[in-house]
This record gives sequence, C-alpha cells and structure tokens, in this order.
Amino acid sequence: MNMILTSTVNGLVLSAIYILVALGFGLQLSIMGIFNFAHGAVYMIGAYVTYGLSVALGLNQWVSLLISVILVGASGLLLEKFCFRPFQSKPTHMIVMAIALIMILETAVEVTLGGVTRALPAFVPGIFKAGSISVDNERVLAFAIGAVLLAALTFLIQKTKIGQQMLAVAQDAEGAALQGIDTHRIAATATVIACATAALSGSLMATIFSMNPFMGDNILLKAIQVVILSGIGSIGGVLVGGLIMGFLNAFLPVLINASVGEVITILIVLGILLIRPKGLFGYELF
Amino acid sequence: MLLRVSNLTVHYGKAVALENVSMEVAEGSVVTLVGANGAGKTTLLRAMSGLIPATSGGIWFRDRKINGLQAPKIVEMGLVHIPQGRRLFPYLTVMSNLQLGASLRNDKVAVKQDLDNVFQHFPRLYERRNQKAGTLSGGEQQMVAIGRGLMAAPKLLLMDEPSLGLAPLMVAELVPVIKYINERGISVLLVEQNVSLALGVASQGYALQVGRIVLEGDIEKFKTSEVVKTAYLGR
Ligand SMILES: Nc1ncnc2c1ncn2[C@@H]1O[C@H](COP(=O)(O)OP(=O)(O)OP(=O)(O)O)[C@@H](O)[C@H]1O
Ligand SMILES: [Mg+2]
Repeated sequence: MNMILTSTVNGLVLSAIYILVALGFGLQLSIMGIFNFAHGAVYMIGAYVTYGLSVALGLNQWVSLLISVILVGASGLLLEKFCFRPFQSKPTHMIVMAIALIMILETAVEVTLGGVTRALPAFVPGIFKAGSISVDNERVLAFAIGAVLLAALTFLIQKTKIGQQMLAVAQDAEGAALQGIDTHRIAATATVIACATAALSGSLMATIFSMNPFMGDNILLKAIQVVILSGIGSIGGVLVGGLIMGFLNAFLPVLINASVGEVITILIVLGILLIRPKGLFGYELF
Repeated sequence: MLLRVSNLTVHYGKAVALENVSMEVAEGSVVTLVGANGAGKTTLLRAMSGLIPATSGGIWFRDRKINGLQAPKIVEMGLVHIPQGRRLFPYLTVMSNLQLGASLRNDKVAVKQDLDNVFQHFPRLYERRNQKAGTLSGGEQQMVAIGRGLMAAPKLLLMDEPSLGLAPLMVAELVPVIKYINERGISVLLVEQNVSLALGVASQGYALQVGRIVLEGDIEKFKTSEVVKTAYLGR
C-alpha cells in the first residue's frame, strides 16, 4: 500500500517535470525545426545556478531559484541568436553544435565544482500529512508548481496572440513571415520559455533527488521519448505522453529494477510508435 | 508609382532566375503578370515581399526602396503577398488564420471591422470559422488566403496563381472577388496562368519568359498577342 502511494506521488512529480522539459524541447523543435540536444544541459545549469546562489553565496533559496530562472531564461536569447539560428536549416551542423554545448556546459561545471553528487536543500522542508497519507513537502511543491506552470503555458500557447503566432511559425514559417510575424522574435521567445522552464525543473528535481554535472543526460532522453511518443507539436499529446513516461518511470524501477525498467519503458514507447507511427496524437490536439 | 521594379536580377545559387526585370504597378490598378511554368513569376513576387534577396537592381514601394528589408517590415508598409499554394496554417482555425493576417495591426476596432467585412463577403468562412483551415475545400482555403491577406490592410496585394487547383466554377468566382478588392482601393498584382481570368480583370500586363519581360503594356495588346499564347503554352 505504502509502495503504491509513494510510487504514485513519484509518478505525478516525474510526469510534471518530464512534461515541462519535453514541452520546451518540443517547442524548440516545432518552431525552429531543431533538435536541441543541449536542453538537458540547460536543465542541469539551472539547478547549479540555484545551488551556487543559495548554498555557495547564501542567498535565500527562493530568491536563488527566481534569479536562476531569469538568468538561464535570458541566456536563451543568446542561444537562439548565436547557436541555433545559424544552424536552423543545417540539421547535421546543429547536432555538432548541441554536442559542443553539452560538453562545454558539463565540463565547465565539473571542472569548477567537481563531479560529485550534491543535494540542493529543500525549499519547504518537512512532511505533508493528510489523514493517513504523508508525503514530503518537496514533492507536493514540485507537482503544484509544475501543474500551475503547465496550465499557464497551455493558456499562453492556445489563447494569446503570441501563442497563436508561435503555432503559426511552427506550421509554416514562411507563411507566418508573410503575415508580418517576426519569426526570429518568435524563435527567441520559444527558446527563453524553454530555458526558463528547464532551469525551474532542474532546480526542483535537484531538491527531490540529487544533482551532478550529468543529470541532464537522463532527462533529455526522457524528453525526447515523450515528444516522439506524443506526436511532435501537440501540447495535449505531451501531457498524455509525459504522464505515461512519468508513471512507467515511477513504478517499473520499484516493481522490477531500475535498468530493466528503462529498457521496458523504451520498448513500450517503440511498441506505441509501431501501432501509431505519428505518435499518440500527431498534431490533432492543437 | 505605387510599385516600381528596376533592372532586377535574382539568382538561385549560380542559376539566373530573373534578369533585368523592370515593371510598375500604378496606384489603384490591377496588373497581371503572365508566363509559363518556371518563367520566374513566383521568384519576382518573393523578391518583392522580402523572402529572397536580389543580386542587383531595386524595388521601390511607395517611393521607398524595399529590397533588403525583412518581410515583416514590407507587410507593415502595406505590400501583402498571398503566396502560391496558399500557405495557410492548417491546424489553426479559419478564425485564427484570419486574425494572424492582422498580426502587425493594433487598431482593434478597424481590425474587427475588416474581419466583419471578410465574413460578409465570404459567408462560407463565417460558417466554418471554428473549423481547422486544413480541413476546408480548395476553394474555401483560397478564400481564407485572400481574407487573411485583406486582414493586413494592404495597399497592394500580390496574388500568386489564386486559381491553381480550383474547379472552373470556383475560378469564375475569383473575378468578382478581385474586382471587389480593387473597388476598395487596393491595387492588385495578379500572377496567373488562367488566361481568361487574368485578361478579364487586369488593365495592364507583363509577360515573363525564362526570367525576362518579353511583352508589356495595355491589356488589349495581350488579348491578340502571339507572345501571350507562347507564354501560356510554354513554348
Ligand atoms: N528555391 C529554389 N532554388 C533553386 N531554383 C529555384 C528555386 N525556386 C525556383 N527555382 C527555379 O527558378 C525558376 C523560376 O521559378 P518560379 O517558381 O519563379 O517560376 P514560376 O513562374 O512561378 O512557375 P510556376 O508557374 O510553375 O509557379 C525555375 O527554373 C525554378 O526551377
Ligand atoms: Mg509560381
């Protein structure tokens, strides 16, 4: 009973984080047509900036998180302009660019802070109790922030003018330019949103689990699986795909074992793709 | 002159697509540009709307040089391009597509007025306003493309083969549409391979053959010209 409860809570937390990271990865893919394999490294940097500010400099942890989200988000402007834009129509070059970014960011952290695994202190230490259920506050917080942010992002994309322009660029960039839409501005907006949400996700995960310079590699693989599973460009699809991935990753390691769980997860994703080659939703839910 | 192209040359890599092309569109007129497949008609429109760079020569719109400007700047000046193949946003609703046409406008009241006008002129689009654009018929999609172009409040509308892929009955419906647009004070540069449509609505014409202008002038001249027949038949 306890194990089911713990895994369910973990499933919800993992789902929220996977969905956030996958949404950023998917936004960059559909708007710029690039596979930003460095997205996991950005997530890791977000966690380390929060750590640096709060643990090393002694700032309030919430303030540290806010600064990290703003700084890493703003760095999206530079990423889009200097790292993505020049390679938008050159997919092979973009792969090299992304690998370079991963190596630079991971090495920078490893050299300056060491490769050891650290813990980011909890934002709200303690246990959340409701009747016979008790969960640590950190997980409740991560899920709540994730859910609110997801709702906000969905609203932004589907109901606002800039959101509709993002979808327009994703569906036909040249057609969008002919409507007077500045496609570079839209790409920059998408990258900033993706980087900011990655920084937030990385920081939240670092309090629940732990952090090391390579923590981005695993989440990147998860995000790629969620995006491909759900169908590129579908927000609703990412929600469902993220929940599937989150729960598989919460239950399988407990039921079987962590490594075998990973293998079974990817086999399930492959199986779904065999039945539905365009992913679960394709573009349908836009 | 509303639009003036002077000695424009455009290359794709090393291949010449347009060579020393000069043409004009006067304020308030409907001008047609005819030519066979691959003559360079779309290339000329793409150069005008800032999608591809010119090798040499210039394009002036409302007395301002526009080659070198980004596409959104050109739209803002009132030069609006309805591209070949329509290029709608297939997974967005008809309503969204139309509103996106007004991306650069902040005058909410006038935008609403223009949206009402589009719906009044194309009642079918009003019926389908919440349907995804990609699910409409070819003729309906062309109406969305035209409506979306009008939502930008253009001074000059570039229309690239609006009749493409339409049934003859739908093509005939384009004549009153173009006349209506022109009556509202919008100048039109119409690229067409459909002879009767082009000659039926335009007052001036240009014929393009492998990247060069081979005939220009009053539309009456085009109705009798051998060159036009070759241009359309592609010989
Ligand atoms: N992106 C491109 N790269 C290289 N060559 C191109 C490109 N686009 C067009 N061309 C070439 O430039 C020439 C003119 O093409 P363009 O599309 O302007 O012709 P068109 O008159 O619009 O023809 P159609 O009536 O078939 O639309 C053609 O020879 C075409 O193959
Ligand atoms: Mg063409």
